[in-house]
Amino acid sequence: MPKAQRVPAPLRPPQGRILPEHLVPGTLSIVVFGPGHGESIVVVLPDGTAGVVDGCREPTGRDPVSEFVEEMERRRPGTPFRLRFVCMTHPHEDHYRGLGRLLEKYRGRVDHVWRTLGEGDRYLDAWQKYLKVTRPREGSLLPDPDELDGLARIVAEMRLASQEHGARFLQLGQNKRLLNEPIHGHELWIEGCGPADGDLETAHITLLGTLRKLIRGQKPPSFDPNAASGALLVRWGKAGVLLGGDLLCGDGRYKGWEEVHDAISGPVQIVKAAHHASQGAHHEGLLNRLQPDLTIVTPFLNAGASYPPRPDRILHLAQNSTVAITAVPQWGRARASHPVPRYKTPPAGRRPTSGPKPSLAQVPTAGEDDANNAVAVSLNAKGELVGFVLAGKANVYGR
Amino acid sequence: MGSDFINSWKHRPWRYPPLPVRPLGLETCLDIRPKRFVVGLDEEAGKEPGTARSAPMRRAFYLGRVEEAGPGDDVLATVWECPSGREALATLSVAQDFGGELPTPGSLLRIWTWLELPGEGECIERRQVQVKPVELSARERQELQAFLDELETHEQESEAEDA
Repeated sequence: MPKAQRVPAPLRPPQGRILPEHLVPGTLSIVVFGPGHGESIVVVLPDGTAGVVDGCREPTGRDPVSEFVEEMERRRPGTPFRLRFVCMTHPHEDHYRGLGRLLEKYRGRVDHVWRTLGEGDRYLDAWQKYLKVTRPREGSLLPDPDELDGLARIVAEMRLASQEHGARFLQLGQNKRLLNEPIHGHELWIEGCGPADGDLETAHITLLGTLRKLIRGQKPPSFDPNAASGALLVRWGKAGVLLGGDLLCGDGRYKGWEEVHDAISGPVQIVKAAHHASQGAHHEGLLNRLQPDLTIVTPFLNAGASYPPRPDRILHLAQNSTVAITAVPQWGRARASHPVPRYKTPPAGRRPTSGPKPSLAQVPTAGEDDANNAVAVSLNAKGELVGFVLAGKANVYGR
Repeated sequence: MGSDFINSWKHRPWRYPPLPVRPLGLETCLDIRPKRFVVGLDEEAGKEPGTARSAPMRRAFYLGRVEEAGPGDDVLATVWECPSGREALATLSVAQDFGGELPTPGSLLRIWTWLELPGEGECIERRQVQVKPVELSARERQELQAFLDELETHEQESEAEDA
């Protein structure tokens, strides 16, 4: 069967949000939340336990990840509920801001904590210093000191989990084995496949240069914490999921995907596109080799400017796989001159087809409740996609 | 965010078409946390933006912070509507809003938005951005320098140990 026909028809839950019962039991499932600024991914293992990768900046005060995990907990009464792992791919606020609250809530109930920065890491110290001096401080007019507190809180909670509550702390990196155990007769593997060796050091040196410029009163260069983002590969039987974090391609200074892509082999059926499907994170060679059935994109809702993804990137990805997007950005108001891609939710049992389609301008724009924007997929041990759910403003692009 | 006064038919002059509730000056604006704080009460928010003309309507004032600047023309900022405290992310333009000069991340922003109705059904969205760059106090500079010196010492010690 050609790969393109393997994606099942998506389910639109009547509740308007993804609940645990929408996932296929006994499968490897991921629920990708993308409310419009960052992302958070719940990985549901075949034994019904779950881990969380990143914590997006929650919209409208709601925390969809905690709500989903609570629903999982509610469906397992009498069983002590634990998170198998919590992972922060990189210290960028659209990926960490929601994690502090989750870690506090599940204090003492987390088995593994993973992040790219080790305990007492100098880069982490330098990054927190950078945040401190470039963010509101005492007497500031702005109301959100939790920008810094948010990261400090996560670091403190991760330390507490590993030092007081017995969670296993591991540093996320290239070819780093994080978890390996048999589940339902098949091996579960979770490995780090980024950041590339040496990229953290490069990021550290760049950040120190930025701090020195600040001290001298010079305008510092913009520092991008995405350059040293982690990425994860999850395997169970023949099922494979690549969670790309915000890992970028190499740019001369940083090695990024150029360094790590060789070590990633198939089968991989699902790819969470790195860095919101930006051009700078797109590694054509890797995607051509993996040939995923489904690529999931978590856009910035203000992608109407130059924030990712650009419409042409979605069109490009859709040439080789089905693309599920957690929300449709406001491309209708874009300043860019790119052609606006068209969308269509496929009818039951069919992939999206060509033909007359409504334009994106008809899609509801941001400002409504974006907390439910999410895509969920279930894979059985043979690597077949057996469940596909879209909620909120999530949609599908095809060829 | 701004007044909806002119959306009411009985207050709207017949020659002006009804205006959309959104957008209100910030073209790509994503609400992320509504009304958690009261912000900017001490600011002279009501003051007319200097460049307003032609019947400025639906004025709104925001305090904001530059999160990321560039690459390209875009600046990502967190903004808080004053005084409601409604928080949003907005994308501003280096060329249009910052006179072509890339702002430093962390810079404080004061943003006025309004609509101008010059007549004949025309409606122009206007925006004025005032930027105050991050300035470190002498104490903060000292602390940061001490931190860097400490790191350097630590690195030298590590290198010596490795050798």
